[in-house]
Amino acid sequence: MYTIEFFLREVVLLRGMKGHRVGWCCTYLPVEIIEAGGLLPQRLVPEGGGPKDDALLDPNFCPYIRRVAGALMEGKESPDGLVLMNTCDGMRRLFDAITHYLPSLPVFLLDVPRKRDEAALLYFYEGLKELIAWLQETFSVKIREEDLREAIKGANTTRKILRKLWSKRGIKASNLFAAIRRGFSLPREEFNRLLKERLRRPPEHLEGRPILMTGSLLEATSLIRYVEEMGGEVIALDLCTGGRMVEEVPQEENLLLSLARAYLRKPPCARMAPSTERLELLEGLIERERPEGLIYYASKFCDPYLFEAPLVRDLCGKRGIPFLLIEGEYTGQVTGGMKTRVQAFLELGR
Amino acid sequence: MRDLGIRLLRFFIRRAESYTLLKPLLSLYLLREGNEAFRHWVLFLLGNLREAHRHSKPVIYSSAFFPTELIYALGAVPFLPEIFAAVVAYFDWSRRPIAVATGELSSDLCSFHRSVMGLAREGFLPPPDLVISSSQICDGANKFFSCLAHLYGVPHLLLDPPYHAGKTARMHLLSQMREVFYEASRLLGIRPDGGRLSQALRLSGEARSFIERVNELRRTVPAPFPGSEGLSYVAGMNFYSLGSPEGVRFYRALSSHIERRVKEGKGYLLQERYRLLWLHHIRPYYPNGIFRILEEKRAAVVFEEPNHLFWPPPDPERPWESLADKVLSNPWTGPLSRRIRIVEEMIEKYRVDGVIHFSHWGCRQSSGGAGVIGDVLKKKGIPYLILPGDGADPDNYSPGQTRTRLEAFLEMLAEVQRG
Amino acid sequence: MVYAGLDIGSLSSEAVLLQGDEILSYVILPTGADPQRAARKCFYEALQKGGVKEGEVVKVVATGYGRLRIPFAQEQVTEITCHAKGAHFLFPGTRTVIDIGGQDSKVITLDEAGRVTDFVMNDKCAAGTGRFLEVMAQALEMELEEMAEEAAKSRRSIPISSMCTVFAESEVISLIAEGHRREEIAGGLHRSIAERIYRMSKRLKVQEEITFTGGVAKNRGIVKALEKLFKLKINVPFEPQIVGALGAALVARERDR
Repeated sequence: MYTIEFFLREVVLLRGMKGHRVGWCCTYLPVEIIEAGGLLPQRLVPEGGGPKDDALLDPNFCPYIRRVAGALMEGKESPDGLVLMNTCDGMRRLFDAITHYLPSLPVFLLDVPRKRDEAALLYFYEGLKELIAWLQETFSVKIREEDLREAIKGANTTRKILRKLWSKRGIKASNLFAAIRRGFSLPREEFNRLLKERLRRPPEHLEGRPILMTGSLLEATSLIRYVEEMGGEVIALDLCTGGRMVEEVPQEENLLLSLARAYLRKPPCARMAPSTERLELLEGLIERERPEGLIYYASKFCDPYLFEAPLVRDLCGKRGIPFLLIEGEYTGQVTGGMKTRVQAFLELGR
Repeated sequence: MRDLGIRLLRFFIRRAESYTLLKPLLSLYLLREGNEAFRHWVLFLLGNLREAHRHSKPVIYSSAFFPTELIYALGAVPFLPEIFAAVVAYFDWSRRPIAVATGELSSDLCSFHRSVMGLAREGFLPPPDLVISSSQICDGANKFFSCLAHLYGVPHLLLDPPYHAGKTARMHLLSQMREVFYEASRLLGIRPDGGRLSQALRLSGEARSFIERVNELRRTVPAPFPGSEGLSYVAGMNFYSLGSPEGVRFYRALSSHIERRVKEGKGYLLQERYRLLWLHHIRPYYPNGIFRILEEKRAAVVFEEPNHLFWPPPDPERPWESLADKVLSNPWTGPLSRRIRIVEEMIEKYRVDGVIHFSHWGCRQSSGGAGVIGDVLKKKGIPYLILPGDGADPDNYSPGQTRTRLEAFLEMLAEVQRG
Repeated sequence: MVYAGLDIGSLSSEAVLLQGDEILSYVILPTGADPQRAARKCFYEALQKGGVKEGEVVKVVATGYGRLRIPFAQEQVTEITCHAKGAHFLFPGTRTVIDIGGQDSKVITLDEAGRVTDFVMNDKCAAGTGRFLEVMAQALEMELEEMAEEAAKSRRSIPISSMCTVFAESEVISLIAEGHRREEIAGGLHRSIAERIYRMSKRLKVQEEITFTGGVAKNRGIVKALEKLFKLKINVPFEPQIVGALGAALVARERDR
């Protein structure tokens, strides 16, 4: 829901940023670094599906990554540079496919450690320094301390507003999620403006069985909406694009290190080690939010999450709450089978 | 009745005495076979299982490509569940454990991992004291090992090698390796012994020189040693035995065996028409027709990816650096271009006519690169086949389709030879 | 000198008799439960139709899934090689073959001599094959040809999202229940089949001319949908189902030296 004003501003801004758009895929990337260079970070979330998707990568592959590969090949997504991470097997192979088929596209691979101790943090920090050097060289920009400070401030504002929106409980998760998704392609000020506007809106009437959602699926709007339609209320969203990005980055002495720490140690994705941390986090969420059910919404073929699912199921069993596993396609399309499962799930015990 | 059978089987499998009994029997039986190396493998495996079930030494679960030298240096018994799953599949026993596991684990996940989870659930594995794995190869393995650790209630130590290969990356790996070693010692309540580490490296270095010899001998035309065996017990020993004296004995025996065949001028196929390279570390281990079909058409699998020697000779005086070198030089780390370079090298060294990439179901890290590899090879005019299949799950094997693909590929090779 | 080619598939079996460059006769039969019997039957019927005595046949080559159990065939060659040769014989400009059979689909690239350079197969499921079309025609309560005509005529088509034949059927039923027009549903089905082939083909270097073989090539709806996607005119043989057997006969001729 946005006005003509937003639309025009968005088009103008995006047009103006041509030559300065840096595509990215994984939320372990401190986007503030890109913003500090006066560049526009664009999370790649291409529409639909295309013929080139299967050409590059195995058909039994993460549907999101396949689609990104297809979209880049077709030119549907045309960033001026790309920052990828080795966060999962799919991402590594995406890097290989893109560097092979699109050699003219500048790509940087940021090594993200699985462990989060001091040694790993320092290693990640060194990697960020190299990212900065690459950005400066590839786009002929300078990234100074002040720029980083500004960018962190802007991002912290986003996080503050998001936290307020979540804690308000007056906004439907589906709408919030949709807003966050839109933010991926907007310049920071626009995104903050959009979110502030949301904050000003009168609270939406919500009531429903409190449900916790966790997983790896990028596009969950449709499913969340369906849960809401069927009488559920998603009270906590532990998805890469949801609740995992709301802690503010403290503006310490060493800004870059502070950034590295905040990102590396944010609520973890299932690919991080040790697995116990995620289970503890989920247990904490269950304790705090008291959901009446947990929906595990994983992407098809997503090894880290599909292996973790039984552990989370056990955890839910221990805590006496029902568990539902749904494997989804990237498009987030809610099939008849999913609808039946969700509906039955929400009817449990009623 | 079946339940009683399972319980009896489990009883015997869990007793170290079963292996004590089996060992000399099989040893005698296998003496009749021409291949000393295979005998060494069987004895090694039985000995390993006996030690693991006897539990007089600590038992450590580990992943393929984890430097086993570290485990031997801890005075522990390594147990590699992924290799064990291959052995179970070899005897065509994997249907049941896979069925047990596929209730809770998606069937899109690797069948080796599912097979092990099923075996673990039914109590067929020797319980570990510790799980140490490397994150190098695949996402699945990382979670899989933590699931095992969780199941047995033991700690999981992860070695997380960096993607890049620069100086910082190296230092990061070195500090991790030391940390894993010292932490493992602490958890096991043993004194960390640097001398044992150097000794393990000395042994793996010795084995390495035989590996080098073996790989050189296998360049002979016609191919003296079958790829199907390279993909089974030779790869198995590669993952399992480096750092132990048995490893040295095995590779020495293998080297002598192949040397003998080369001297006799014997190829493993009566007539060799095509020389093929097999890509991926695994093949289907349950009874299947793949290698028979290839043999029918006189196609020899002359070499295979897991046995490529990518690591430099270790220096026992500098154990940590040597281990770091070993881990960092693995071509499956970092960008695919590293793997591709090795493939091109193998094609040249082994005078390969065509390449088969085995795309194991659920193995995205390797299948995801098969397309790009094919692209590179096709541009060089090297016939290439992606063979989809499943390494451990016989129910996921389609004989007709596999045969059609293999035969069509060989027909293409025939045309190339003709024209 | 007469050469015979047999294509024993899971659903249908074909035989072709070749003399010089002339097709003397051909036969198409359902395979039934016994591939050996089907092979003998279509071979003998082809002999009869062509007025050829068994002794005149110099060599028999078999292809298709049932090729391994034909004792009277001197050689077995895969359908990939055979479809390439057969298509190339009928349309010498062919560099790409699309074959959609009863239960699987393939895209094959070949060189100017008709030799296979690359291929990709989809045989994991029946979606997008002849079987799929049969099931859908039943769901729409149309004859196959009728459905194809309707699909070819339809201007709009409803996208069918299910990848699987069984689920696509339920989807079709619900679309009918929602009141959508059958032509548009048929159009959507045909488009989704064509799209699957198009996507599969992207793993190869597709070049013109494209020749379409296998039973499904008789379906005008699919042909049109494919032409739209590939933006190329597609060759359809006079009898697309016999291309495999023809290719086998050609191999027999080639290898009889």
